Amino acid sequence: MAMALLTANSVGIAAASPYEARERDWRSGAVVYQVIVDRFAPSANLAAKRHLYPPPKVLRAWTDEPSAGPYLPEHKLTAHELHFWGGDLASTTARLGHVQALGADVLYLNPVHLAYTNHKYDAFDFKAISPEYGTREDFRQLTAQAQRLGLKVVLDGVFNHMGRNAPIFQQALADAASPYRHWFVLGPQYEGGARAWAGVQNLPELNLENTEVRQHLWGGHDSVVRGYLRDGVDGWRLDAAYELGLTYLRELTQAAHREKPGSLVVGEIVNYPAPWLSAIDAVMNFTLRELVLGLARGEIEPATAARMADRLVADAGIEPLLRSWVVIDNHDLPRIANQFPDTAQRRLVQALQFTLPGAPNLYYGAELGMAGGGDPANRGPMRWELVRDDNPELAWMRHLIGLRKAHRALRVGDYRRVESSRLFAFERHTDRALDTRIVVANPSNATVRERLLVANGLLMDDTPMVDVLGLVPAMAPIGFGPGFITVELPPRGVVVLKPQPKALGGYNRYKRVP
Amino acid sequence: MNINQSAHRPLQDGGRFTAREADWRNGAIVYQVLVDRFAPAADLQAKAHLYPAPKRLRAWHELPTAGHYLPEQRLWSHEIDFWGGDLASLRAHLSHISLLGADVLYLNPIAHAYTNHKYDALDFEQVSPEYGSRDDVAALAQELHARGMKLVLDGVFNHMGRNAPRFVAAQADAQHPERNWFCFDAAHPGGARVWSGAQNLPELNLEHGPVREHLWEHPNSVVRRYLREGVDGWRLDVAYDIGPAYLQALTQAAHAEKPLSLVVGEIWSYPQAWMPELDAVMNFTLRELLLRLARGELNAATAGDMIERLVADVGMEALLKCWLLLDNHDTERLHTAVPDAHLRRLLQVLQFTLPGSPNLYYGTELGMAGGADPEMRAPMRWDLATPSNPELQWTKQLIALRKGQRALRVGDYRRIACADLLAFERHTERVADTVLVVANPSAQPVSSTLMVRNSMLMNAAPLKNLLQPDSPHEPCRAGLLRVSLPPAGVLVLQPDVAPRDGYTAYKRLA
Repeated sequence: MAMALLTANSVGIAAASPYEARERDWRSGAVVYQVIVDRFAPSANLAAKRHLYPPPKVLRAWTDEPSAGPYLPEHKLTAHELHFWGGDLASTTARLGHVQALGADVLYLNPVHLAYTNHKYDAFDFKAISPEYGTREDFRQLTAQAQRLGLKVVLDGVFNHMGRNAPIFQQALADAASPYRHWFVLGPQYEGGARAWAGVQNLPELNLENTEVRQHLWGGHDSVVRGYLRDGVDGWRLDAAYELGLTYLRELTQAAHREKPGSLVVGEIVNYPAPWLSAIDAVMNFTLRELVLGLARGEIEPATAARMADRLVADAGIEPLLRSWVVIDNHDLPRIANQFPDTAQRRLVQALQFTLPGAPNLYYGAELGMAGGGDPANRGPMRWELVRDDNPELAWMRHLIGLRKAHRALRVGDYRRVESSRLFAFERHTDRALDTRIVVANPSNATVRERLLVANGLLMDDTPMVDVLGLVPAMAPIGFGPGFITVELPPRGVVVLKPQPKALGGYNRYKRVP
Repeated sequence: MNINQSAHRPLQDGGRFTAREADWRNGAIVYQVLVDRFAPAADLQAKAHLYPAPKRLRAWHELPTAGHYLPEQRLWSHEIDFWGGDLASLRAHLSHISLLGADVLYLNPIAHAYTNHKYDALDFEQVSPEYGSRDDVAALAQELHARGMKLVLDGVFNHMGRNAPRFVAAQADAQHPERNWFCFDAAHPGGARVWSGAQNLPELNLEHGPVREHLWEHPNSVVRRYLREGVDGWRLDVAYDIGPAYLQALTQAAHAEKPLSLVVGEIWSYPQAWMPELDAVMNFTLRELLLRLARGELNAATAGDMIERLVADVGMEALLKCWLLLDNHDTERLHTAVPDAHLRRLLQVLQFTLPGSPNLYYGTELGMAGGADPEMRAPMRWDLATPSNPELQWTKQLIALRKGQRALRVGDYRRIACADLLAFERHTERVADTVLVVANPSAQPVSSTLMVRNSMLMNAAPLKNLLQPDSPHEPCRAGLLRVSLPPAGVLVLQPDVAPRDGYTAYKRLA
């Protein structure tokens, strides 16, 4: 009875450990590296494939930066959606060593299927690869190489809509007898004759209520979702997943799991995460992003932020939260260097991105300090010349990723709030007391000294706590009392504290706690 | 969260409080005594031979002072200074403790040991001859029971003393049958694993079955036999060293021997995760919190958050059994830690009104002072035990407050949120039991309006002021309570449900 009482509420005295199970599940706490294929690596032979970019498409030099272009009414697109830098699956495959050396676990590719624009969110055919990028065979080679390097591959599934120029859409629009007529939602009440995503004429929505469409996308053996899983993909990131609704998301996730047990379905959910996690494995955690940003900018009080994070974990549940992607920037957001030009503030945000529960989503080039504002400036070509050991941004990112690898609790540990007022603090902990890491951040621009309550009964009195993050210079070990630590942090300071019992001639206070 | 939800429906749930009242371990007042220092022996001359050199007998009026390290004995000279108190002299002074109103007497170790503090046992089964015999312990228990009190002993089961015959024999002979009772290894300085670097305290190898048999598993084990002989519970020294699994086994053994016996652990970690392996812990987290509050290192709102968290994490049933201490034999005395009388009294009000069992260290009720070890272990100042001693009057007032208020002993806790004040309710199924506590730990006067989330409190009904019965407090208005407190001020309030001219709004609740 005692054991049963403990499991729910207290630290892992109970026998069964979920932490080892989490460690065996690649989805929990992974570092996800995100790539736009056109922008990641220059093509080996651009001249040979120049014909794949006919006007109004424009091929740009790798040294050019993207800039906003005019709206092209004829194409119902803006000009910069048709600017290409020529990267492809083969060039991406050749550069996977960078992703592996960084220490990432997962490669997430923005869409690669056949589509018109450079971003490929306007699919023509989900089952074909865009010729600028290569073929399904090139794709299989990429997944095979990724597997050799120990990387999982996640594809971007854009199943709410297709592109206006998709042959099946044009056919459905033109011919009332077309077999694809009910794949879309057509009618005179819609501007342009079809229901389009968020009013974007280039993106007619798919009629998911039509069983045939769902069979095509995920239900059938040869469906898009299942076919790519068989080609070596390990998971799907679902674009605009909130549009698909809980029922279809659940159906899609079940289909993916049946095809490949342990595969990942992570949704772009710009809502509060809780109910969505009953239908998909994980979300892109935009709520946590807002929380971290609000905290870093002084718009949310640290104690309030801690309470909100606590609520988020309680509502979402730790298991799906560990799989959920912690996003600070991506292809839809200004780059982190633009969101936080102040280095100390940016480091604080990244330290939280890599220590709060979840899978940090690293957008290509963020590790190099690449800058860029809103779309399209945030999608610049990868600055390979910045991949140098003396690049401090790269050194810092390697350190952050290394920290996660070295400290198990940061990857798979539970979350527990630390009682504080002006500092933001939390624990990550497992079934082993000494795995515990305490993260404390001072988002303000003044030095803060505060006494915190760490509600962890297995941490012993008089255990020194040492910082393993190294961001705050000359941080002396901190004493630990019966649940209390006193932490003084400079402005924007962050520490990750590790219990380091004193050497007492073979005596050890932790000898009989797990 | 569960606690708050259930607290909103107290009337349906009265059985819980009655059940708590039936268990002596809930909310008891625990009086702690060092036998050597509590009461002078009736005939010290007759037992002077029990204190051979290098032990020293001191006069009762002398104060302990730090001595020097004795390399040969591997301990400090002040560890073997004695004042000569014993179980018989303690028994002769029991009425001081029972008249004070204590429910439990807790004795620091009395097992046969070398030093004055007896944390270095030579033999757990014998009583130290300076103190008396096992028969004296049984007689003490019997007398306490006759006075309606309980007896708790100090169990030091993580280690023994270096001079313990068992350890000496095991150390001398690698083939000794009890060699595995300790952890011998050339890698350890001194050759055996010792507690926290103290060479006088070799650790017991609890992983070895016969050791656990000896200590708590066997019907004639140390734990079980003392329980049979009249002891009501065990306080476990350095319980954190014993680990949750063995603590659970020990507690189960104690309960099997004597249902409702108490096992309370010295846990310097955050309390959660140590219960129900233990019945209770010494609540050092709450002590630390209260001291920091008094020193201005924690503000009232943050302290309120932390207490609420603690209550939610530990749960009321366990928390009521946890010992709430402000000082003891390992800490400086309260009067030294908090010399300001107003702040000290504020802390003591909280000690006696927050959920738990107040642990009163001998002499604190007389205003005894004392810094770090050995100063806080001075002989009891019987000269201060006079009815006119204001500290003694104050302690008796606090104890009487607690004895008279069922909610303070067994009531649930509900926070009253406030930015500048620490405030809470203790309440039961009866609205008349409700006690509101509001404390201003700051150095400024504070006026504030609090929301008291107790739906049974009637609008505009009078509030009694329990610490100053002659000045009733302004009533609540629709759940809002206006308070003004001077620096270090504290209020203890209670709804007055008595009819006035035959009318009371509480007529269908009280």
